[in-house]
Amino acid sequence: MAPSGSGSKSFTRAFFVACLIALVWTVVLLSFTVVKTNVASAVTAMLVSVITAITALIGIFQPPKFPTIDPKITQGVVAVVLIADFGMSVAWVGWSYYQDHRSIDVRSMITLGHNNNVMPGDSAILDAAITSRRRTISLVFGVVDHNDSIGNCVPSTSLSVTPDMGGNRGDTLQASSGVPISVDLPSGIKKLHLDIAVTNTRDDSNCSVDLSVASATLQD
Amino acid sequence: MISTRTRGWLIVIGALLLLTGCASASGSRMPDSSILRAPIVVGVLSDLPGFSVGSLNPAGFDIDLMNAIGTELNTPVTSKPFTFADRERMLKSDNVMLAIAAYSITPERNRAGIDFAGPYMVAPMALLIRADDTSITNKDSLKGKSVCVVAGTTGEEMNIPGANMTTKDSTTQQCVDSLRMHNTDAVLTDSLILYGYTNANPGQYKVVLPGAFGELQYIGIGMLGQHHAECLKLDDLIKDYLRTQWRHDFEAEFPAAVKAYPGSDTSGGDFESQFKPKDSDMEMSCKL
Repeated sequence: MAPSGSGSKSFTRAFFVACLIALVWTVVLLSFTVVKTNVASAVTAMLVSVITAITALIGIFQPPKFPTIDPKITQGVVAVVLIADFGMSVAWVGWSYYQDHRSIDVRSMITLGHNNNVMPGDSAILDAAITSRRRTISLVFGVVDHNDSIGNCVPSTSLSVTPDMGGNRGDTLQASSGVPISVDLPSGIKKLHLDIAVTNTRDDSNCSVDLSVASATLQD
Repeated sequence: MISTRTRGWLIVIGALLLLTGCASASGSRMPDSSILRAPIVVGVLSDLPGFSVGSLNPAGFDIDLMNAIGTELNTPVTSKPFTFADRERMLKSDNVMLAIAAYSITPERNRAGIDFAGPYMVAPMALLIRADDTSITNKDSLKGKSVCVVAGTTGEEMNIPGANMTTKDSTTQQCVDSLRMHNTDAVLTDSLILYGYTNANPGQYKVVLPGAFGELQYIGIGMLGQHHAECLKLDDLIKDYLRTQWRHDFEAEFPAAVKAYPGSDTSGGDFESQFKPKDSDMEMSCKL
């Protein structure tokens, strides 16, 4: 049943507002996509936003020879566009939140030095580039015997990990093979340096080990 | 609906199947693959003073431990002598179920399929030299000296910079004989083994530079891998042994080591703090 009289006028106004909202919302979202995403999706978004803008302008100003479209179809299209915009906005917010807080594997950005044949009392060093803003870096060290035919050093090897961030030394953390530790990262830090001192709980001064980083993830 | 005749046949077939199953179960029983089945055959060394000496009626710390395990399990145990180099082969060929033979726990041996319960002893490496030799006082003094090692031991894997380590014998006794005959200058192996020799040969030899070379040796009970439950059971028995009997047996079998670590020097501690495993050492057992 078609709206009547003043009701019809207010419905037309509301529909016009909805069209404008759908248009602006879509263009904003697509512009955001152009700015925030990679080349392929940016080009696609730009094309879609140009087509959307042209289509909307044609719809609003209605050129004389333009074929009339059933109002139900235009209403349906506007409704679908609004729902799609809403869904896209929610998904975008969720995706952005996930991207800002997800754990990032940074093992490939880590260099470990002096990590072979480390005797008790000696230290290995770890340098890591911090490419994303996160609160902590979780590290798991691997410890193996340097010569596993002459002894068994892993159970008695303990690691004392001291962060050095721009000259400020943090609290020393205790680690052992396969056990994760979490190092706090100050805001804005770009590089992390760790001193990893090897100690032997049985005072076995010849217990030489090789160190590795089994996993390194930036976490919130 | 099943007829009376069909039902009769079903009963007969069922009874036959039951009988066949019973016969099969009793007739072709799988052999007991447990390494703690009676009698437990334990490979031991026969020429290692302190640990195990003698082939027919061996005696020593390893034998004390073997008997304690048999008593706790209420299972007869029997010893079978072998050499250091034979330990792995004898376990793998099923000639012995356990090896209680100054067997150091190493990841390399784990990789070769040998698992360990324990350790029941911890010892640094050391050198045995002639009692009148005053030339070997530190690491550097070994330059140009001949050091004998035993094939199949962790000592064989070691290298002392500057020392001549080409003398390799198949038993510790042969190395000690070479030392006595001045064919070598020192014997490198676990300090407890060496204390056993100083005890068995009073005044002839002395143990020097404990801990200067090599790593601590964690001595455990060797067995083939894939016997995890039995390994854990042996771990429990060793823990009990360490708590109740270890000190007594150590004092009886290694008097020279007890004398070397009287505990008066607070920095070194007594023999128990030197040679008795800690609870945390059990981490290295039962890996397979």
